[in-house]
Amino acid sequence: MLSRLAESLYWMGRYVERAENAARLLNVNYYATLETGGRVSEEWKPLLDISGTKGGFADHFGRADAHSVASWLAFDRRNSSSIASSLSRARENARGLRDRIPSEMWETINRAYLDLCFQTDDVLLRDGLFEYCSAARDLSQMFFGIAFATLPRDEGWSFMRSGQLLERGDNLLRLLQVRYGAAGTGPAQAAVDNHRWMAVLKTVSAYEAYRKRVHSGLDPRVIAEFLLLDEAFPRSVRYAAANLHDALVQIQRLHPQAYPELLRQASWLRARLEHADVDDILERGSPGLDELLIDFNEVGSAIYAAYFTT
Amino acid sequence: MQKYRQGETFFDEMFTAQGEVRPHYQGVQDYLERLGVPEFERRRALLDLAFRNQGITFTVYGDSAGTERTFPFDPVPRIIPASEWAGLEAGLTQRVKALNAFLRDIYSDAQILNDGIIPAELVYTSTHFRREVHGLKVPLGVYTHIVGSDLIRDEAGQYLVLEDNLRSPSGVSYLLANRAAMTRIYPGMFDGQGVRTVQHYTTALLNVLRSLSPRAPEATVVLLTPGMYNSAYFEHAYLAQQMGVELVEGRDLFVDNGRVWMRTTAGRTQVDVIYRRIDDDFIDPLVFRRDSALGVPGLIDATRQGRVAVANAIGAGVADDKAVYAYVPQMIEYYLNEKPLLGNVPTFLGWDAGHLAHMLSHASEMVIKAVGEAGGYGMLIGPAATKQETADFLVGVRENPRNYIAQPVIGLSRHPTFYTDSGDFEAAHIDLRPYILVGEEVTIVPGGLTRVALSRGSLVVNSSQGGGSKDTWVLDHDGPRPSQIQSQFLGAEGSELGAPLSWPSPGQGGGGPAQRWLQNGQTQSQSQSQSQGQSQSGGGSQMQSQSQGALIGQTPIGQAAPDRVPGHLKTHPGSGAAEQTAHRFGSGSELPELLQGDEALHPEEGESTGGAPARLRPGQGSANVVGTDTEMLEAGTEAVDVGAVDVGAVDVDPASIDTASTDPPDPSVTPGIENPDSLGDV
Repeated sequence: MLSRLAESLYWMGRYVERAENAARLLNVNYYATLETGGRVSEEWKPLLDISGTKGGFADHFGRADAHSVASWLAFDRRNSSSIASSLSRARENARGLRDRIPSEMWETINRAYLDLCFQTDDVLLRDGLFEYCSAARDLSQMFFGIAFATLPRDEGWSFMRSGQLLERGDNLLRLLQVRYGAAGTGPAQAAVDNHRWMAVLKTVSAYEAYRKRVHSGLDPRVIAEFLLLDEAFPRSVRYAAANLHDALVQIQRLHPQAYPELLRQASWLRARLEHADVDDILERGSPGLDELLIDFNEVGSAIYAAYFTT
Repeated sequence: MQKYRQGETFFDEMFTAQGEVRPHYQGVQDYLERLGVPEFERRRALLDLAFRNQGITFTVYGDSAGTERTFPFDPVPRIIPASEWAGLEAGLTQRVKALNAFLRDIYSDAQILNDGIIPAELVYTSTHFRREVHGLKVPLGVYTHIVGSDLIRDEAGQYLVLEDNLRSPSGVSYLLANRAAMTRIYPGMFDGQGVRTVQHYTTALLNVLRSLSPRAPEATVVLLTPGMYNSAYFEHAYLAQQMGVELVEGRDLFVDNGRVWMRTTAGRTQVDVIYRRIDDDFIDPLVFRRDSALGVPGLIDATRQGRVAVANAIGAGVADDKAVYAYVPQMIEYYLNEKPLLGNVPTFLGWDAGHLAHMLSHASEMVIKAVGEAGGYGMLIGPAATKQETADFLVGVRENPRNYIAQPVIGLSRHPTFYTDSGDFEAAHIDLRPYILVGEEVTIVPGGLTRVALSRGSLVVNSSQGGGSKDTWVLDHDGPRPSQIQSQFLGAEGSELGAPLSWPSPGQGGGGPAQRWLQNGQTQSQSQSQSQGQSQSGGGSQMQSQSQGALIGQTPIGQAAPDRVPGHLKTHPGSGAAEQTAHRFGSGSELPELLQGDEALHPEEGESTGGAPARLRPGQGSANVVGTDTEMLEAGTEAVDVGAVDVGAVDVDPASIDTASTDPPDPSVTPGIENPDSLGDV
């Protein structure tokens, strides 16, 4: 397939996943803060860290509060990772793939683009953020659902899947980095706030799955273990790494022996997550969250070098 | 609809001058009456939404809702009866054969120029003449494989060719999308109407493209687009998807070892046929514009080596140059030894001294256009211009007469069209662009893109000027659909429906196919007689007929001398019949369609919603416009940065129209505004 299209599929997968993650993050936290009494900026600043958009935010806003952060993460086109920006870019890539992807996929993303990418703060004023975020999440689920049901399992599928999983691993690692404290404070000190940990789980749609799997309650260390290393939960870091590897193996099959280094990197990332203990990651930093995040992004660079720059 | 006014000045597609509905519109009129306006309007809104969600848009893409617009659509279909279509089909087929013969000729020996039929100067000075491809052998000897000629009907209902788009005509995706949306939203409208299908277009297109492959039967076909910011991008993606070929951009292709390759994740893949939607100027920076980033360096050379085929061929645009267009009737006589079946709009060439004098003295009655301009620039619409504007414009004409042509203003035919603001049906001007495919044989899907000037009184069908489109139906019969098929299957119920059994049905009771063939035979003979009648009737034909022979060397053209009336336009059934026959029997998709008709018995929208009946009743209306056609779709020029559309809207009072039509000038061609958009078109 054309390199340009492969790249578009990859980015389309990433942007839709990113929009969904941003929508979940915002939705969960916006409502979670309503019931807590802490300082406003303490509740909102972490969201900027998680989304990696703190610098840009400071250029345009003063105080980080419910209004400014929600607006920045949801509608603001100046924020290249906002829901609106991500959907718009995903849609642009999909537009370049119109002849390649099923019409239903295109129509779904196009409809979402028309509905969600031209909204303003008015949504907040009329208390419409929940619907907005829900619609963005629904879009992602429907979009990937249609792909799952109708997109041929060829290279195109694998490239889209690679982008989606890489983004998923990346986003979750950032979330964990912030919530467990980049400074290395252990889970014990991180927080005993039941409420906040529930929010973390809900941000990745893991709350119900966690409860079913773990009956001992909300322990930050166990939560981290679940989110990082659970083999079966489809939004865990390990699951993302394993499936990313699988997608790359599928692509490699069509181009045997072409890029051994890329597969080696993906497979090393996968192996580390399969064999690491949660304490290795959180306590001993071997590999630490930062390192895992770097590994994910290096696989991304290697995909780029191997397939998109021919 | 009860207030529908057809007016007297223009030809109305649906109603006769006496206010009677034309037989082929009877079924639609009945349907609209049953449906009622409120329900009609409700569904129309659904159509708009469907187009929006599907992203069936034109205009240049930008990241704001306003720049990607849907093409306005009117659900009242434009209907062409079988015999009329047969005439168009024959005329268009003849025309594209002559145009291809002309292109073959001028890019080799140029005999037509040597014989003095067409002035060599006009051809060689055309901006679309590409000396770089002189002597290049094209597959099958075909230069223009996909043609979109714009047809208009004058005040007498006579079809005329306004321009030929031979480079990369666009709009066919709207034709297909319009039909798909209509069948979904107004299924009842099609019941039992005998509408011929258009769905085989992409299959036929792919067959033509594959037949050009230098490595036949192997054929890797690609569609070359300028990219997603191009205004016609939707069409490029749609066609590529429907044909299952790669949609590529210039950067996806490269030339190596004399061959064209595309970059894929598996390395390189050889490309055999390129359906390009990029203008000549941008296609190969080594030969044409060096600053083009859209093209493929070395492509022309690979074409010359016969390693890759390009459709439409480089250089085809010379034959749709405004000045060269005027000579198409001569081409037909010269190459085919036939009389033209379809007329041109009379055209005066500034290049000719006699014509120039007429142009200058009658500027206020004509449309004058610069031959090389696009985007609506360099055009004067006499009846709509002030004296000062006219005078200023003529200064330029005098300075460089070769660069201008003039045509009388033609009052395009009108069609009932729904207006949401008035909640009623009103007459709006329309044109027609059929799509002609030329490979080993000529294929024309029965239908076309009907563009409609939605701004009241305007005549510009251009999308940027409020133009829209309609679904275009070609029927497999000429009048109210006989219910013979229905009755055959359902007995008496058919007649309960009230459908007249007006056709003889010799095949009654004996199998559909037999019947079908009989119908074809009948239709054919009808069409011959009708086309004859058509060409002879109406004052309009006089003007056309005289047009052709007179072009060259002319004396002024003011009042046409009566003695110059060669009847080119008369259809000659003798010569046309064979082709018609071939075509009618050539496309095999009709039977299944016919059978669908029996579902028609119980139209689901039978019960009207109790609203006002959607009744079309013609009255007299004031007509104040005229038009010139224009490229409504032109907004979609193929070039990335050229967004402009041209158009000429014309508001003219009827008096001037009369003038134009009664004082036939001689020459041949068009008024209009065609716009050679430098990059492609419609």
